[in-house]
Amino acid sequence: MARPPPLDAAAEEALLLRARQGGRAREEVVVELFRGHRAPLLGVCLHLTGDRADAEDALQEAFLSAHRALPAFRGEARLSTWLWRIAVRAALEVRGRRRPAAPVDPELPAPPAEPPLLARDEARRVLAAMDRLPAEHRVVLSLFAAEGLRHREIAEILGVAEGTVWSRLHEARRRLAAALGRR
Amino acid sequence: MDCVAFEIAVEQRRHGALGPEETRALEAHLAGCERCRAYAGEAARADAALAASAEAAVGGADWARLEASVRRQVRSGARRVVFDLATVAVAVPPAVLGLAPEGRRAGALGAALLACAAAALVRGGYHGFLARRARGLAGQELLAFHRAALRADLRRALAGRWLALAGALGFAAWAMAPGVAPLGRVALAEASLLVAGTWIYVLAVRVPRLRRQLASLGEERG
Repeated sequence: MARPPPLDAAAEEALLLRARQGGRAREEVVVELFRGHRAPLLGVCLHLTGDRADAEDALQEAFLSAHRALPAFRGEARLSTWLWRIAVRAALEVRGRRRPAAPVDPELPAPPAEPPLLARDEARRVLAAMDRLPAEHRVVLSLFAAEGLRHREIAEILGVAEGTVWSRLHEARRRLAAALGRR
Repeated sequence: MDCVAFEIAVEQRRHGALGPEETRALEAHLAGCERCRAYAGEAARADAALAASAEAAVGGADWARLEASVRRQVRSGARRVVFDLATVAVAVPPAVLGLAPEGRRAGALGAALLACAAAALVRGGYHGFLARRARGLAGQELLAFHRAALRADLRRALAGRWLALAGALGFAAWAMAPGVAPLGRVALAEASLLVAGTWIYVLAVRVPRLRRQLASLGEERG
């Protein structure tokens, strides 16, 4: 299925104006946002929850929260940045609700062009290792791996300085390598 | 520059944030530093693995089902507020009228209507609270905000059980006052159930869940 192009600032502004009409218009805006952002957000939700079903739950909760909060949104940030922040929190909440005994298994489905078995095994091992890292490191690793996000946007999503983003990413890499037993 | 600075430069180059001069310096360093080359290789492997897992999840997602589910939840969320309030308004006044003894029904009904109005305010306030919390995300350090919100929820949950106890005691004291004997036993049972239910929910469900969520965030970073 082809991915819709990401929304630019003008398109976001038009969506906000429509959302302020409320009712069915707001619902349609949320659905358009869903279509425009669902793929990268689902990827990050998967990285943060470590579980495919949880990632889909988090994605839906994020858009439900966005629908609830849209009337109060005053354009303090780009709409997409705000949506990323909501999605990251939703993923962390869904992961936190999981019982500690629940195993982390991303249950990676076979995508249309199936990657080699070794690549899928490596993806599983990296996700399992990420699950043992503090939230700051999981989040920064998954945002940098997300398609189309630049470091400035990541700094805005996290609400930290750009320099902090780089140092946090470096520390996260070091810890991930340790968790994978490679350092 | 030490290796840590070069490793950060590796990340900056990977994400298109390194200038030409710094790139030349990095390449010269990488040519002679095995540690930094290993770091660069490890970063590439990890990002490729994460991209592969995201691609697999995206490729396998049933978008039509997910979109329908988002629509359904958005609509039911709005309807649920109305349904909750209508249920309280329809169920509570008749129940109070049935339980109250002759001569005290008008007062009991008035109290029940006041309680319904309070419930409506609390329900509407909770909806607004969730919206404000989501809006409050902009411009703040995301994970610090998330931790602070969870800690505030934990404090509220722990305080809520004492509030329920105080409310139930007050209700029981009013209901057992001289002259309201028939209502007294029922009221006492209701108050006990309210307190027991609240405490069980708070201590067995809400607080462990919030503590689990806080623990799942891992150590706090400055």
